[in-house]
Amino acid sequence: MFAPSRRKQRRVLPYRVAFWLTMALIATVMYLQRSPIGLDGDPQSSEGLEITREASADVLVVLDYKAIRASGESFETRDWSAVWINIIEQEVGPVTIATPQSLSQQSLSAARVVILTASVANQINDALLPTLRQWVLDGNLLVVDQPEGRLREAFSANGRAGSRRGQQITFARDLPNPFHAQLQEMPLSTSYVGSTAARNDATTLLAIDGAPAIYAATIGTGTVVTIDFNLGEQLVALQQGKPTARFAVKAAARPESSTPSTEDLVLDERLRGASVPYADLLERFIVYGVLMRYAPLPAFWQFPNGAKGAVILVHEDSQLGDGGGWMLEHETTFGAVSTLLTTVDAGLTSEGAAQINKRGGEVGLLWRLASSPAEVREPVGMGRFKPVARPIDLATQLKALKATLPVDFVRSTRTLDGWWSESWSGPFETMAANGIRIDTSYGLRSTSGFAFGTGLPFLAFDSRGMPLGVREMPVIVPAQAIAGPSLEELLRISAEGHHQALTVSMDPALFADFPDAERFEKWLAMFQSVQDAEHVMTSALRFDTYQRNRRAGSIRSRLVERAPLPENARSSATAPNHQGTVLRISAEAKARNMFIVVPQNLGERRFLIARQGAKRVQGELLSTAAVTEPASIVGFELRRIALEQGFNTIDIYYH
Amino acid sequence: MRREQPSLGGLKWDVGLVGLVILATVGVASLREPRVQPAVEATIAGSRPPDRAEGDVLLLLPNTPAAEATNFAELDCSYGWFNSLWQEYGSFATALSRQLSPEILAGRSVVIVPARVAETMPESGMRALSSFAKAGGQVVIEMPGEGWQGLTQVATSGKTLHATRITSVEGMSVHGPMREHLVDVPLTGRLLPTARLDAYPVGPMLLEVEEQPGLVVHPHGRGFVYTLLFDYGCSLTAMHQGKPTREMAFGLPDAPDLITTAERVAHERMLTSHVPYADLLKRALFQRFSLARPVPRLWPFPTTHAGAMIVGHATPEMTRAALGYADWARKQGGISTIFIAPDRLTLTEATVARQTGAEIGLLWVRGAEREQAIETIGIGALRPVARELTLSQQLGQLQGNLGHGHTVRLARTEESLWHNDWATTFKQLAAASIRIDHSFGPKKPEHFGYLFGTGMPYYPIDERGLPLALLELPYVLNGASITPQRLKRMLVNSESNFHQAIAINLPADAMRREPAPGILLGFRDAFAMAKAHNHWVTTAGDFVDFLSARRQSVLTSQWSAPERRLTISANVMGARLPTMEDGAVPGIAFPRTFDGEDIIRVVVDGKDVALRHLVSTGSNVERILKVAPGRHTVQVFYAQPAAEALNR
Repeated sequence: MFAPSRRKQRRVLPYRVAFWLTMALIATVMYLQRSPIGLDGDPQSSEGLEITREASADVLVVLDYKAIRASGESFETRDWSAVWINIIEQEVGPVTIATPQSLSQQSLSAARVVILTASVANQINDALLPTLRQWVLDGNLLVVDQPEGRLREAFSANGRAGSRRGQQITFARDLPNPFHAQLQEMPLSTSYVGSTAARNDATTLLAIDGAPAIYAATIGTGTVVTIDFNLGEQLVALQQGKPTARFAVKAAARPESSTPSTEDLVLDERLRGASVPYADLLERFIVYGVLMRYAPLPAFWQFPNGAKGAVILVHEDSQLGDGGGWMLEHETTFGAVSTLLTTVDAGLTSEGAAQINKRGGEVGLLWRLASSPAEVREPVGMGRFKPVARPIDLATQLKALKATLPVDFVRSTRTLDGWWSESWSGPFETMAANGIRIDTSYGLRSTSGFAFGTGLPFLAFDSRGMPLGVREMPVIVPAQAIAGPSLEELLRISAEGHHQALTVSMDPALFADFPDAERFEKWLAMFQSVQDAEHVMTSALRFDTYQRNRRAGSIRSRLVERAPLPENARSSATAPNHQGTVLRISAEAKARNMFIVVPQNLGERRFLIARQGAKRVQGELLSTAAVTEPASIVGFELRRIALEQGFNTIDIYYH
Repeated sequence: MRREQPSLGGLKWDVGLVGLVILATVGVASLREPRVQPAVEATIAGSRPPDRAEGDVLLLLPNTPAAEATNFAELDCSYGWFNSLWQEYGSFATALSRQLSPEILAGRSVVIVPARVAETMPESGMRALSSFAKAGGQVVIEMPGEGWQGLTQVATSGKTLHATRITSVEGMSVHGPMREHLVDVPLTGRLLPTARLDAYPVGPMLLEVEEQPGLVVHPHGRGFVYTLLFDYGCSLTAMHQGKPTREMAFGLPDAPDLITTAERVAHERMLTSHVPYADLLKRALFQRFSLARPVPRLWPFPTTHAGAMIVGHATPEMTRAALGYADWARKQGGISTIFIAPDRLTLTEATVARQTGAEIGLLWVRGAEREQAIETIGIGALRPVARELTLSQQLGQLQGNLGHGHTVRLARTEESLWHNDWATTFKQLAAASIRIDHSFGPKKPEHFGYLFGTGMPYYPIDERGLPLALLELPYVLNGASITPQRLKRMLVNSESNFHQAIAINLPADAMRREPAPGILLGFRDAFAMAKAHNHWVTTAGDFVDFLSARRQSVLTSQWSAPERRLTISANVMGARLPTMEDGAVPGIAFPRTFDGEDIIRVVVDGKDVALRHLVSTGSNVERILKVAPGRHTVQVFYAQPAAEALNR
């Protein structure tokens, strides 16, 4: 009796299979339409740049990019010689860069300071060595960074004790307190070269663990300074953060995500909430305490209008769209401008962007980084069937943002919520490939301070030690700071000698859901505090433009001994010869708001007068007295002089 | 052998199963998003408020309500006069025109005859008014038709024109802001053309409208007769309640059923106005009354305050933010009114609201910027039908959430949305026993100021011209239109001239929807600024309670011309309020000068009061005397003119 039923079932079976397969297909299509399969992004990335500079400058840095690329594979063995570009550009302004091949008598004679970086430590050929020696004998300053071979033999201690990991800076010559004490507290990630004997007549300028790490030897009327520790590693580890040996970033355990954030890049726990910008303190000691000790140089002041520092105002918005620019409206009443970093999906319209632009504000991208919790995906497929979704990459986000802007560029970014990649330099490489100049992703979410050793924009490097075309400017005061020094304290520290750019992030949506009166009052009070501390308030783009002007300008100087003093500078103290030392400076200022600084003292000689003029006749400047004002950086005394836009000729008299 | 054809009938269980799955999915979907039945709102019509017998000024009202107006020209605006007197005088008398008699006129200073009353006035009434004027009284007749010529001395042809603007104020002899801004007051309604007349004092014309006489004054015996040849009451009503563009509706023919209140404004100029045009027009006429004899009034603010400041926060969803603003206000020594959606208030939030001292009003959810307030209908968890809560239900829900038998009498509509007709929303609010509405005001950031001609509350009138038992309190700044500069300007103007209630609406989500620094800066400084400019920081509820007490007060006066003595009898009522715990008592205001001569002596209840204790109003037109609640007799003596003094 079951036979017909079975037959029937057998007959129906193919139809049943087809029916359920169709149902399954429909269900799958519907499911995929609602929950597409996620794909990984394919970010663009940039190779590091071989930065060249042919500026008219007092300082010449000699680099070998091939050697940098060929250096060790791990973070600690990588050659970070290119940090010298950042040091000189940040502290002085213009710099000339040469390679061992392009280094010539002509380039040497144009410079007052030559820095032979570690990348060329063993590449100075026999022919060049006497030339260098003679150049030093003529009264110039040669800096050799971890020299090797003939170079070490010629200018430095023997280095036979080998390389050791440094624990602490123990001494810094003539660096006044509190800066000296602060430098001793700097967390280290560096190695130094020990020698079995100190070089004869060498003066130790900096010691690590008691061993000379920077020392100077006089040769003729010139000086050779040896940097016998891995300055590059120390600065890169502090500023850009220390990855694992293979340049990966390990995420700290967080409940919300296993994606690394820039917080994971902080070199040392002691840096969280630090009120001292250790990286800048070290750089400034090297420039003002070491280089200028032996070769007094003029430098472009780091902040516009001679301000004691800068507050860079950034606002991150992923919610308010056009409303994200509301803070700018108030900021402009204080002559300040800011950067609005907005996500492409926040809702910024062309009208809103035009309004921000009209007020002088900048619009940057709040980057939804792929593979982070902030990523956004776009569905991909055919027609209306889009079964897969891929992350929207930086190029697409930038394109979308540009479409709303009245200008055709986006220069600034920050990753939303400070997410980062497992690749130490990956996001920087992507930014560089997309023409981003300034990034503010670095910072801690709830702690203010110099977690990355600086508030100033620093050059980012790829994992091969090559500089990228991006500068990182860490956020010093995050929007939701609950720990670390207050802005007022940071302003005081900056005004008293550390002279910093303090990037302050303020979330425009902070008051969207609750009127936090206390925070609002704090925001209002900030403007007065910043003015009281003589800092400028500006946007990331404007500050970057100012720094570009500093780098693009030129400064040449020479020191003339026993020069006759001008009539109005003569006194009984200068009698009977009325002669002194003159620092003759030719500087080209690319903008109106630029200043230079020169040392207050040259050894025993004190600053007398500065004269500024248009032309020189028979060596004498037809000039007028220039107004100077005292300044100081990390305790080193300076004089600051305003420049006119264009070429300036200034004589600084010391007696 | 016959081959059996495959049959799809064999798949019936499979198809059935799929069908079941689809049905279940649809069922779940309908449970997740139930169908919403719209609410059916109750309405209530306007009604005549009880008459008051006492007062220097008598307003005659129509004997019967008018027929329902189908367009604005048909509207009876008699209660536009009622609103004006309620705002300006506080104490005034009303009577039906049929009650007009020499007895009812006895002791009055001014009698007002609105247009609809003038239309139906019997000859005996005209005679009584004529006798009243001859005896020294002042009569105001609006749009007089046939039969009035004997009293008004103005001949009209029966033709009408449209009144839209005042073209000259030369005859008013006014100065300052009144002179500057009176010509900008937008007029609405008809104009009765008459022969050209010279401006006062050469001729009788006080105001020129459309280059025709608009307001004229003629002496009549020892008194005066003011003739308004334009729709004064309707001009005021249109400014207060909106000017319909067609058949009592607003905007273009395809305008939606719900429009914002700002779309009702009488004139585009009023969208950005620092000047309360309606109040300017009221005062232009009322201040004239004191030329014949000083006419005192109850000051519209407690004691000698120059104005009032009211801050509100409406929120359809962000109750926490509204409470944050209320708490911020408290910390600044201020107070807020928060308008909360009934389904967005938890017990904890209700407790916090009480702690902030904030006044609570209902945000009437209309489903505009958020989903409707609903109740679901069904059995157990199966509730496929949802019903939108009516206004009364929303009010009940909010009161229930507030607990402690809290009665809510204030409301504001979500997004200030209003039925696109003359009075439906007002009637719905009145039917739900809402006593104060706070929905009229600017919406867009670029709009600000006195969009409805006044900052003072007023009674909306329905299509039959009757007032509803509800007060509309307009606000002047809203969200991103709040800036410290605007607020300061409005307070300065109010202190120095306009004497207004400055109501600000700062929506709790303003910093999300249209963030601007001015919002927070303005709010932060509002209370301090208000106090600095002598404004009473209060709530809508307290302000209306004060005005109610003022209306219950009685003030009458007598003028003795030979002695130049104004004798005021007042029974002043006060209100003990959270924002004025000592009691909010109106001061008594009287003209600073009469006939160009200053006050020389003031006696209160038999005791001299030093003149320095009198406070001048901003425009220096009046002096305000601060009094305690209760009965008082105040005698104000004005100096004799110099010539008379010499003769003596």
